Amino acid sequence: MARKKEDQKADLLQGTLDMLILKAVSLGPLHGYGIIQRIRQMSGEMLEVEQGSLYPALYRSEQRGWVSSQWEKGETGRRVKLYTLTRDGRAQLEVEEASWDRLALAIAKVRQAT
Amino acid sequence: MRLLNVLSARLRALRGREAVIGDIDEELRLHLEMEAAANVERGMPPEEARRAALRTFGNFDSVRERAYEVRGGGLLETLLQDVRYAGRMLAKRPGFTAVAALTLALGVGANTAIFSVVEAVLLRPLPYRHAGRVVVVWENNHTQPRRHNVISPANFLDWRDQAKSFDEMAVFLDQPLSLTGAGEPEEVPAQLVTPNLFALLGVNPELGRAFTPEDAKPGKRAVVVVISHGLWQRRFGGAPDVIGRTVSLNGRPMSVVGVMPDGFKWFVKENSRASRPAELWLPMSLAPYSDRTKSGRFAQAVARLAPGVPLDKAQAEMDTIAGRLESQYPDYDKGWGITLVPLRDQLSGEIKPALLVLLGAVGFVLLIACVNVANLLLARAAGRHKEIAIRSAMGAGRRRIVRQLLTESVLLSLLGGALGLLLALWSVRALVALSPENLIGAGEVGLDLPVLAFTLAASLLTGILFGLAPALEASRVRLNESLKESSRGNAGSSRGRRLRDALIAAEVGLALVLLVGAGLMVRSFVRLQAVDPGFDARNLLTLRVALPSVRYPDDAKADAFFRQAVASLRTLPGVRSASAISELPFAALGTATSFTIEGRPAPPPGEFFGTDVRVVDEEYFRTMRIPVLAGRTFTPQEVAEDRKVCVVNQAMARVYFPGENPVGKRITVVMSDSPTPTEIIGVVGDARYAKLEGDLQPMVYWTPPQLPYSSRTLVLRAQGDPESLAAPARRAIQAIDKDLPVADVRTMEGWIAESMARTRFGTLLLAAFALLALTLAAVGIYGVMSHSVVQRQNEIGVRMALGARAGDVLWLVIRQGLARVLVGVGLGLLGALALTRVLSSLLYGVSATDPLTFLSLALLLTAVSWIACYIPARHAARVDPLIAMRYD
Repeated sequence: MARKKEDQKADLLQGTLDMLILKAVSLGPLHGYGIIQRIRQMSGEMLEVEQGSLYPALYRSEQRGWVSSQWEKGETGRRVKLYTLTRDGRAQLEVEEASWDRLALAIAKVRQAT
Repeated sequence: MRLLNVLSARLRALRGREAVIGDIDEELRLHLEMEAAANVERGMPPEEARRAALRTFGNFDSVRERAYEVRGGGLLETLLQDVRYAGRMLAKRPGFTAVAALTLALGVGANTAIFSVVEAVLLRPLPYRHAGRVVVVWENNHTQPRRHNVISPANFLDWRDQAKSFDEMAVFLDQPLSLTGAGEPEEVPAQLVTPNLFALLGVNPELGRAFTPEDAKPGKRAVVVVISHGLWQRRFGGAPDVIGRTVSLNGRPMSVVGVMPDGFKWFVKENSRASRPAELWLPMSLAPYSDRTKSGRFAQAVARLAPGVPLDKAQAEMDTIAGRLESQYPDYDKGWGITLVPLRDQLSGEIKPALLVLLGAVGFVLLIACVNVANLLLARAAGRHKEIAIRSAMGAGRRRIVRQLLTESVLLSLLGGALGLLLALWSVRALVALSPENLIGAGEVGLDLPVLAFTLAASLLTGILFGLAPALEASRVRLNESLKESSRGNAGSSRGRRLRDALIAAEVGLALVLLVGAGLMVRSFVRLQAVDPGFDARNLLTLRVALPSVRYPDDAKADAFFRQAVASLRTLPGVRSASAISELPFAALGTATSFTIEGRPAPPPGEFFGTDVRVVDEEYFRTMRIPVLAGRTFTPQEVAEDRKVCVVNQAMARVYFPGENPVGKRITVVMSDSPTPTEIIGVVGDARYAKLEGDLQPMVYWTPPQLPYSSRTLVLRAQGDPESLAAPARRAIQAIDKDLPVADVRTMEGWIAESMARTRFGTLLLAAFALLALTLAAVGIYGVMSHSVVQRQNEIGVRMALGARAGDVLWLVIRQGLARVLVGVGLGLLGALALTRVLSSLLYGVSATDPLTFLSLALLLTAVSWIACYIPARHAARVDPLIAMRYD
């Protein structure tokens, strides 16, 4: 039981970007550029994900089965690759949000103590 | 599901780097276009918008490469990376690497070596076409324990006519012949065969032709021979025009019609009258033996099952035929059945159990080696926490770390495997001695492809086996703890410690099973060696002489030769006495037959009184030092003339004359068409003739005139070293007849040793493996205890500062180690109890659960383990508490 908690803590640093991506596509299918835009919007223009980090993270998420992708004809007629959240991805998103909340709470407590 | 995704992604990636990169390229370009379009929307001119997009994107190639790596395309690249990293880590700790690789090399090497024999003997296809369908055919008598009796050619003719399960049946009979002309006279192992034998086995001559039915026409003397590749090379220098040349066999000219290919061998050792595979074949006709009352059972037979006929169906058919013959010829066939034995079982049966035991033993050794290396890795993992924590903080996932650590252990095991291969290469020559001589020769055990594949597989498996637990354990990083804390006072995680405890118990248990197995074999061998053969084998020299019937056509002439030879040998300086016998103990298969006792009813049909028969002269019992227990032995007159007298052994007296004095009784031994009674004049001690183990057989000793053998073994008792008489004895024989081949000039002790050679070698090997296991286990315990003492340095320092004395510390450490060892000993005893049963067929005079062996080896292992614990404990106890507490 104790171990589980520790693992969650350790993965949090890497998991943050994954969480943001999952959150972004949870509202509907998006292409890579759209994901960056949506994260920026959602964060109130505070978070700017770099392309260099986005695509490796996206591919990783796809391999883990959290998102699925498909090339489709876009509005302009150009082929675009759209990412959709899978059921596994939704579950993962919940787990990550929960652990993020825990960490935020913990940090807040620590800060209050100072 | 997730695994499936990863797998399919990997597969896609493997399918084409180009396709994956193209996909990524398109996606990234799409991204750039969108960014540029957005820039244009914000009012930038198109050209500048594009440049701005590229600028924000960063290094396009590096992004693409990283993305590609994630998509699994970089599998090979990451593997190479891992291997390079692993190589660096191993090179950084040469001591650890050397110990681990050597440990594994011992394990893998032993396995490779034993497997190479197993592969050659038990797995490799036999070199005959349709070998899987070839069966050896024996008769069996229900009154005898042996299920494999030589067959009657007369019965064989009936089988061949009636059986439908076989598409070919053949008879063969080993018989040494003397080869003269061109060079030294030589005794050559030969085989009389029905002409279809080669076709049955599916092997064609490399030169000339095989036999045709015409070669064995009834009533016609055989005039053609087929020779082996080896004989062709040796006697004819490989001459290509050998076909049609003449050789002299037993003084009779024969013409060579064929040469069998190199490596061809046909030898069924069980019940064969020869000790070596034939090098020469003669066609044999069965017609002279068709009258079953006139010829006994003496030949070997082989058959090939028709396609699609299973063994049990063929056996059932043969049972029916045997039943029919029983009622048709009750006097001859009552109580006789037929046994079919698949060729592979026949040829490797005697060695198979021992080989499997050895294979199991080396498996255990490898497991122990694995446990040791796993322990080393675990101990090292404790020291690598920081490195792993850093890598994990840098973003390496747990799976990535486990993979990296596994790469390291597999690299280690491959290194060990390569070293092991060298070890095996070097030892495999010696192992050839294990292989049955009727199956494969010295050249045929080796490191061929299947063996190399086995070694590779064993190494890989080993690497994963010993690497997995430590890797999983090491990767279980408590990130912040590890980074924060120094190794000070850290006794290692309790999980790691528990795992190491279990590993110690496991290796102690494995070692004990092996020790007990080897101990039983050694005790059995010692028992076997202590068996009294019933004669004094020291200082005896033997030589065999076979007289060609052309120059010694009648029995009187042959007999005269042997009398002269013995007399001549007796006069050699250094010879105490000399004698001639039909078949010497341990040097040849004997003759056995049935007999009746005068004044007693004959046994019912299907049963008989059985006895071995040997033909000896008056000096035999004195030369062999076989004691006379009752009556007397032969006089020179009785040996020279045909007086109807015989001497029997104690077993005969015990089995057939219980509570009576056999001396003066008359028995009729069936060795000819018209057997006559002979009087028993004495009883001598039991001598062993074939093997040291097993029951003693009743024996009748006869004089030469009653049964003249044209081939006899001369035996002489030397005053000193019998070997020094070899050359003079040979000269003495050839002084009488210079064309006679003198064979098997060797000591009696040599014959006995040879009869036990394989048992001795197998026992020695098993003992060596057990010793190796013991050493590995001791080293393993020592290593873990040393490590644990270092880790507990701090605690020990505190204890000592608080007043613990050296003795207390000593006991503390030893108790901890010994507790694990005792668990292992308990497990090992249980394991041995369950496993040594497989040895029972190999043991002589000792039970598979012999308590003395079990107990003494458990004690030995405990004692050795105690020492392995004591040394680190003493180090711990001697430590200065101040230094210990400051230990970092």
